[in-house]
Amino acid sequence: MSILKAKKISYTYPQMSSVHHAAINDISFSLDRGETIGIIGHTGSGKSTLLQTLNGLIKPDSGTIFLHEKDLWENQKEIYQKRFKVGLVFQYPEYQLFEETAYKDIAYGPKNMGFSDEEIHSRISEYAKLLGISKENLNKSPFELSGGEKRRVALAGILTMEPDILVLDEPTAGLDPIGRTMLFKAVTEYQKKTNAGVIIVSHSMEDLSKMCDKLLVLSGGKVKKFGTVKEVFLDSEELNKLGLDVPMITRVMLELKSKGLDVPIDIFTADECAEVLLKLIKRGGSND
Amino acid sequence: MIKNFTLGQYFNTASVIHKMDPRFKIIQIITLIVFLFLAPNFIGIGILAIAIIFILLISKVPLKMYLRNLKPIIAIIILTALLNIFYVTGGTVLVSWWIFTITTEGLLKAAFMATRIILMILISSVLTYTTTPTELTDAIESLLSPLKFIGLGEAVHTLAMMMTIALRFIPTLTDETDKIMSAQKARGADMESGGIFKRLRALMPILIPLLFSSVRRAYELAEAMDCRCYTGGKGRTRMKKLSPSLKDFVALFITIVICTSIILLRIF
Repeated sequence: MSILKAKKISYTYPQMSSVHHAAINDISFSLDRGETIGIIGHTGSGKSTLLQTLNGLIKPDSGTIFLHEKDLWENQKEIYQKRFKVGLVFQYPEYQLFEETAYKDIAYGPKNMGFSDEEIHSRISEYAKLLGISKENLNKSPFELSGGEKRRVALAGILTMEPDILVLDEPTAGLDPIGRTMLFKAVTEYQKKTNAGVIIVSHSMEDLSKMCDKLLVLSGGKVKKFGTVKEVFLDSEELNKLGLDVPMITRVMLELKSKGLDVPIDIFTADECAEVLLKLIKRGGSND
Repeated sequence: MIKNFTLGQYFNTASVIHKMDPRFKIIQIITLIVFLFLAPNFIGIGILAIAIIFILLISKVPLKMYLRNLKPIIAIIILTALLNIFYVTGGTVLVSWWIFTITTEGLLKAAFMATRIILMILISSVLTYTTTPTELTDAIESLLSPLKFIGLGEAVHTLAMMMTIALRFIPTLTDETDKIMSAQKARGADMESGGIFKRLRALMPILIPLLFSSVRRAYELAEAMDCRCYTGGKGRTRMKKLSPSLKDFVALFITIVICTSIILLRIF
């Protein structure tokens, strides 16, 4: 059963607007429980616009978004409540921290949802642990924390709202490799626990191939391709045409294949690659 | 709500007014405004009105754009007119009721004041429609440059640089405000309902991050300027030098003629 479904949604920013973002045109896709969809596309392909339509920050000009099989905009007055179901983590979410302490900042969302202090406290302890935020840091001002710590506090602010769908806009931009791994681990754990649907926008094909079940390729505000990771990455020509790339490891495999080695090309992560190459070397060894 | 906020009024029609030296433009417009208040009677105002309408026409900016600027001050114009109608005495009494008396003199004075304000708004709009913010700051810097003789040269440059930076960052900050607002809305911020205190409180999650990021941006910009060896105004040259041309002097001549006639009107 799909928890979030977009059906032919389009949106164009008003002409007089001082904010110039890309429009989106006729976009359809659906997200199941526990599923992860990755969105790839260039700057200006409409990624951010699409994400903002998903939690009702932007009302599409045409088309419908179904949340739990119900029209998101069915009742205009309830949109406020519906935003809690779709947790949207913006790019560089650390820039939205404002409270005196990290703890209070994380509590902002759940407080707006009307939870009791005890409930909020238990949620914060839970997700602070999941994201590796120490008790000491929870009581510090968010502005005293390091970049990676701030990012995790901001993410905790969304996770404590326990959205059914978690939407992440370039969550690892500007993080070091350890920060990246930690963040993705937390997202995966959250997904395992709540069976939430996850949507990730990222420029890193490696990250996406690791995290996602399906990929949505956006270009010029339109869906160019929507399918499993394998389907999308195996069509490397189409991706290249859009100026996008397949994961580096897949490129290695493609190159090896063109050199005449008998290797599969549907390899997207370093681990899989190592396995295949080890096998190949062993086989080569026995041939000698 | 921030999306409906359009920035910078510059409206390029490449008219002769647009091409004027901004320094000449500023000085002449200020002079015209001063003389609007020196004009003693309807003849004086009439001369200025003709001149101003002429300027509006040759600026090629649609008249609708000018009228739009009048909208916010309609209330002030009406209030000024009403005060004059009721307070000015003299001339023939037209209507007299309770403490209110309307006289011919009052009506004339009201019309006089209203025209004055309208003309003032119109002529100042010419400046904003036909001059880019950069031209404006350059012109202000250049006009204030005589202050260097009393040792304020560096201050003038700093002021101009501050204005330029401020103007440059307005769109950036609007964009940022928009982003922060969306982000807080995604966390359930409610900015549209509740009393004034609730609304003010609801602004904190937007203002604090905005202030913080402005300070961060300021530090980054300062560093970037340092890296490019910015040391203030001393020894800096310009890529676009302001230089007056024939049309500037023609305009100046016309302005002088207008002003002289108004001075003459005041004397005789």
